[in-house]
Amino acid sequence: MKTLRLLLMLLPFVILTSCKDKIKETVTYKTRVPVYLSISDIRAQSITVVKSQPVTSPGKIYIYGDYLFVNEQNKGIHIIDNSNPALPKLINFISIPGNVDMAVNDNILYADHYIDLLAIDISNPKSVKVVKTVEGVFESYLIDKVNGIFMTFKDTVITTTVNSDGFPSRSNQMDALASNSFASDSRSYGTGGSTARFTLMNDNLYTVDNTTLKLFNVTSPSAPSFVKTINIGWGLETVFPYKNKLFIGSRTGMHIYDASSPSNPVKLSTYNHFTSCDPVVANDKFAYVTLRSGTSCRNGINVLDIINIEDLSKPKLVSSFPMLNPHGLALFNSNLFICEGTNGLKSFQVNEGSNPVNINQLEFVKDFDAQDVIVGPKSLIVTGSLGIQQFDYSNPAALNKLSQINLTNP
Amino acid sequence: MRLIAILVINLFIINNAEAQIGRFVNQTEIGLLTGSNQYLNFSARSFNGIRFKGAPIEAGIAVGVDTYSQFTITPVSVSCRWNPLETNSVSPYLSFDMGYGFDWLQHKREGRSYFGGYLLSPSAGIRVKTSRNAKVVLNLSYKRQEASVLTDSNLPFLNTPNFKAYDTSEFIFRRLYMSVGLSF
Repeated sequence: MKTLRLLLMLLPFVILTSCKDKIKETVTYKTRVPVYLSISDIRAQSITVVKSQPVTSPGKIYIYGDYLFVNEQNKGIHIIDNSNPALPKLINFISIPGNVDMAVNDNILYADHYIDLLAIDISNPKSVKVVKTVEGVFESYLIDKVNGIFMTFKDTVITTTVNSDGFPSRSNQMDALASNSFASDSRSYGTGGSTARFTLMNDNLYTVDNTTLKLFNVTSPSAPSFVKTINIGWGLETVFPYKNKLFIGSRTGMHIYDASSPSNPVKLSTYNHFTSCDPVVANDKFAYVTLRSGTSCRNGINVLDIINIEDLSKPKLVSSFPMLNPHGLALFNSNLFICEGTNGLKSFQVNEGSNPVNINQLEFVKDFDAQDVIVGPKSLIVTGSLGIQQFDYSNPAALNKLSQINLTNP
Repeated sequence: MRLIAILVINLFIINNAEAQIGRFVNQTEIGLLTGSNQYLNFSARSFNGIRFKGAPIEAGIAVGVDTYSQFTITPVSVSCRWNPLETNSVSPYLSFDMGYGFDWLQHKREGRSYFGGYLLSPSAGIRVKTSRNAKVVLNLSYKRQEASVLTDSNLPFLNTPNFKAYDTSEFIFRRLYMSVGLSF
């Protein structure tokens, strides 16, 4: 009887301790984890051409003749024969670890290779050769020169599991995800054209990283030499050359540099705007800047700003048009093409003669992801998460899709 | 809609079986789901079955609603009850429910997929006769219910094309269910 009474007394405790919810929360996400590499090991690896690889994570795009060069982020460069934009052919792949951006000058491809700049002879795309290495010029990596190592980031899919017996602690996981945003942010998907970080003008290669503009003299294309670094300010994103001027887009504004003395660019002015992401294109009179909102772009707004730059020392906002979520843009004569992110691609007729400058929407190709656009000689090349799409733009009011290079999931 | 269909089919089968093998029994309860470190959640359950001729056993189908904080579940289970002293004014019973909890009544949010799961629930209780035909029921159960939610978070700051972050929450709700109801 005593035992029974004891059991009855214990029963509520037994029930209450076993009556607990069990929650297993599994989060799977892609992020970048730090990796330490030896500088000498990296330089010892030869840059080779391998057979064409599937495009999985395209970065910058560059047009050179009938070829299209597409960066595979941190892995190398796809060479695409684009002589027929309706039927682009992946011909081969240059394996360059750590590569993000590029430019081509007289059959010489300039590409970043972690901390070095490579000059690669591509006159025969099937057998490329590194002709010059400018060592240690890119400082966007954490370098330990004493021990000859540097830190980079590697794409990794991480799965974490949290077991709990209460409510899931979602806020902690969101913090973990957010802490990776900086790493992914510096290697964004925005590509080529108006979002390029490498550009060539007047025998100089100009590159921008987060805070600086770097100059390389490429008078002899196969022997680039580092000239200098110019500190510009935080949040640099893109560089666009136009008639001896450099338009440098940053998160806080647009910097205009006069590069008529190519090795000594001089700052003319800065046009400040809200903290936002902002590719730039320009012509003689006007600069076109898209500002968009988004987590990595902080408290942005979604607009196209048209800025009068006739007096380069005093850029003046003349018109502003609301957009959905504008990314890259391209200007071709009086036609303006704007990528609206996942909303699609817009084509505008610009009337610069009117006061204020007016734009007239000609077409809106909806519902595909458009991140950046380049006007090629034969086609309009649009990159996005679906792949690389090409449009016939002979009639900007009726863009006609020619082809699509699909992305393959790694 | 599915819930109503199940109830109708259930009653139809039971009514047909009733005449030959026993009599119809209904027990409907409302109550609270609780546990250590948990909020109190509302729950309801309705058992419709047959009391077999010549045996102290009732068998049928139980349908209910469990409103957990993270998930509203519609459990449908096969239920078996042992009630040996049915004619007494106070008759104790033991029962066992086994079934599946569905997501039918869960409010669906975009980007989330809801999955129900298996249910086990042993119970004990008493039925107290009243002056009328109905009996008042006091019931205590243990409920073990599985469920999961897949959240497809397209986080913009991750900025990785072709990839979304996935968050799977697998719940095993282990609760004490205290309820009162009526049986006839």
